[in-house]
Amino acid sequence: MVKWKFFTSMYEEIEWLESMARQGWMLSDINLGVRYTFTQCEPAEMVYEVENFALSFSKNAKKQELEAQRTASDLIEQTGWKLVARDEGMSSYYVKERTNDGYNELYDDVESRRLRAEKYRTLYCIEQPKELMKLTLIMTIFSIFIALVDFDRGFLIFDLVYTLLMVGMSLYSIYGGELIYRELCMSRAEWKERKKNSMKYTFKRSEDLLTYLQQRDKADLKLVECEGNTYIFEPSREHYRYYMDTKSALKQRMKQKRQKYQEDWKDMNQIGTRWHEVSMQEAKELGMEVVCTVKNGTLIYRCPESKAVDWNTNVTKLTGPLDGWMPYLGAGVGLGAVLGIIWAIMDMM
Amino acid sequence: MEEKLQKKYCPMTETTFYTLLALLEPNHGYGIMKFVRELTEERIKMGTGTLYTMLGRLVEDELIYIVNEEDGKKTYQITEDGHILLKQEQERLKKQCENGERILGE
Repeated sequence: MVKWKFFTSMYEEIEWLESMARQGWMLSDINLGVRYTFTQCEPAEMVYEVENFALSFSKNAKKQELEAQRTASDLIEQTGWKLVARDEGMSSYYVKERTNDGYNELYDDVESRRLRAEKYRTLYCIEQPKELMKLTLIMTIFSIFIALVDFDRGFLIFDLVYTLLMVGMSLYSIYGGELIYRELCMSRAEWKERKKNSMKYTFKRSEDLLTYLQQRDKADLKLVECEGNTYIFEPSREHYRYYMDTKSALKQRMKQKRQKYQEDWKDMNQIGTRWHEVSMQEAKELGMEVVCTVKNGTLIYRCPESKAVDWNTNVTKLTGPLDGWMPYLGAGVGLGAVLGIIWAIMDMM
Repeated sequence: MEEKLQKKYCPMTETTFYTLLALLEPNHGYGIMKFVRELTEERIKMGTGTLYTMLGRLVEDELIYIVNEEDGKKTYQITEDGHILLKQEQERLKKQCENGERILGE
């Protein structure tokens, strides 16, 4: 039986393969990372693991890597894992029966998990984009050459599209690499726990986020962390009121108190935390605890419901049009239109 | 011994300590896992991936060496340097334990 599936998460893929095994299908081959071939078998409780022995595009593998490779595949097979499939990216899929002796994962301590996660991250965030960039460079130089010799703009347009594609793929690879790194640093149990407690949420206005957090609070969940658009919660018996603070809200408050917020003019990229410190001081005096930061460095606080006061109730403009990839698209289209018009006008003169 | 090695392996992680302990006599991959599991009464269960990552690193740092190799099964043993670092770690742990006992009481 053949199934087509695309996974960006390794643990998701393994979970799926294990559920197939429970239904009596064993993986026998995998092609291009999307085409899975299964053979029928007894339904069983199996564990899968994926190991990649060639995590380096550089053709000069270090001696240790070569040695490690052989030790690794031997040792894996000695401990009961069986190789069932390999894919074109040199990933090996191993399977074994789930046992109760705790040997159901290949990596079970923090350090080795991190080392393995690093290898994947280097591959997806550095090596793969590097290769893609090299191809883009070659193609661009080639088209410039053709354009100079033949003055044919057509090829330049092809090159532009090609470049766009390569850049897009590189960014995708980098994001994927970061996700895989964070995922593989956790054990499967930790990952499952986190998945259960995290939710993806995008909001347009700050009031929406606060409403969402209060809703979750009613469901006995408290916010622990925020990564990008994913919010991670934990069960909680206490109930809280949530607040948020932004730099502009802080400046407004200070203006009302007739104080001036001293800007840090060196902080061109707005990565400094000066306003965070001022805000946290104020929050501490009000008995609020810091939860985490969300988009654009906005601070989230909470306070036990019994001690809740009204504070910062008019924080708006949390997310504006300057969020996500829309602004890039907008800027690109806008700039392109302006330049195109200027060119056309110059052509007419 | 190189100072770099000293800094890297002092203090040493538990898994490194037990691996070196397992290799005072020649031993192979699966044997090491079994040795550690039995000695620590199941407290430490080394995963396969953990083990071969570490074996690779220990061979590179010359704390262990490959005694021989038979159909792909490698047998390892501790080196002189490895022995010295292991004894040092044992001493360090003893002192750490004594200090702890003095403050926390037995």
